[in-house]
Amino acid sequence: MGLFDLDETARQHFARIHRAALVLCGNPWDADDLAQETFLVLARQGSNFQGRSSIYTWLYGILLNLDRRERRRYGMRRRKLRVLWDNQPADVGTTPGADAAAEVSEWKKSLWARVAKLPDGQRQALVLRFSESLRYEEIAEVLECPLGTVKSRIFHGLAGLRRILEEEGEDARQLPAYPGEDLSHAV
Amino acid sequence: MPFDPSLIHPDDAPLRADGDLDLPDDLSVLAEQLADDAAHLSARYPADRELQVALAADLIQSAERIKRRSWRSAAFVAGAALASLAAIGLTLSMWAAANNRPTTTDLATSPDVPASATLPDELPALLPGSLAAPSPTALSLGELSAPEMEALFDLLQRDPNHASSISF
Repeated sequence: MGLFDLDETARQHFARIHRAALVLCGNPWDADDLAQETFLVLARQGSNFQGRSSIYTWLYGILLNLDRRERRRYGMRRRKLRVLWDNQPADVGTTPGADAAAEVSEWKKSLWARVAKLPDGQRQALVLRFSESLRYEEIAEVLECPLGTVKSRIFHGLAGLRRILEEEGEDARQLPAYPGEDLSHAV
Repeated sequence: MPFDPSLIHPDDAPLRADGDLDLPDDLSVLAEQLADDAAHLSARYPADRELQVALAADLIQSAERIKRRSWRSAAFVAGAALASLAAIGLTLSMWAAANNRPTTTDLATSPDVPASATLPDELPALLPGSLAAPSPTALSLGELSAPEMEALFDLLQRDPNHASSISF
């Protein structure tokens, strides 16, 4: 590959790509697939990497492209998630052993489920900033847009998120922090 | 869906003097909550170690497959190029041979062609029109089919007084 070693790159960056995939798609199964696919694209198209940016920003770019493609294909709720989402009874959060459904509700009650309703540009900027803690300059590099646009997308993404919460009748200030393993309030 | 101009925002985010975003309190809370939620999800469902091992194997296989495929592609391209060159060469040589082959007229008028290569006077009348047409005195044997050539030899043998020879 020349500019990087595949195994070493996967070892160093798989966890962070997996984390971003998790908040993007909302369930660990699709996150696994998406993260793996990202690295397979790297294996196939690694020769296109010119070393002008860091390898992880390049990987984020691949991940976001794959996620966008999947969303176009399956809509906002990805295929596997949709099955569980649609079949999940309201009191499933208290049902012992219903791990898969509980995993879905974990994401469903997080703010990232609301972020998923935002336009692509804002959603991706929020993921890179608040899940991945990238600097504005790095986000601009990944999204291939000016720095001002990145800041604008983040600002308007947060404002859009606030609007969604208001529409849902929730106050952002009163959102519960994660209550550990207590899923009693799960949807 | 009607076009919603509010989806396109100018770069109008409020900024602090240091260039960072100047977020109102409620948006700052949301930002912190997003970071917390991401950390929680990530801690709850960390990247699977087995998945990473499987990925490493996949990557190695994929790289080998790509290498094999690129070799195959290179071999195919080289083979196709050689075949194309051979076809072009063959076509050119056939074309050149066709252009250089002496015609019956050439044979008749060329000073190098001995008189013995000409056919008996009455022979053209016995041959098919197309063969006799180019020249009444010379015949290119290359244009004769096997039965025609056999007939020609028979005629020549039948007329021993008429000295004839064949040159190639």
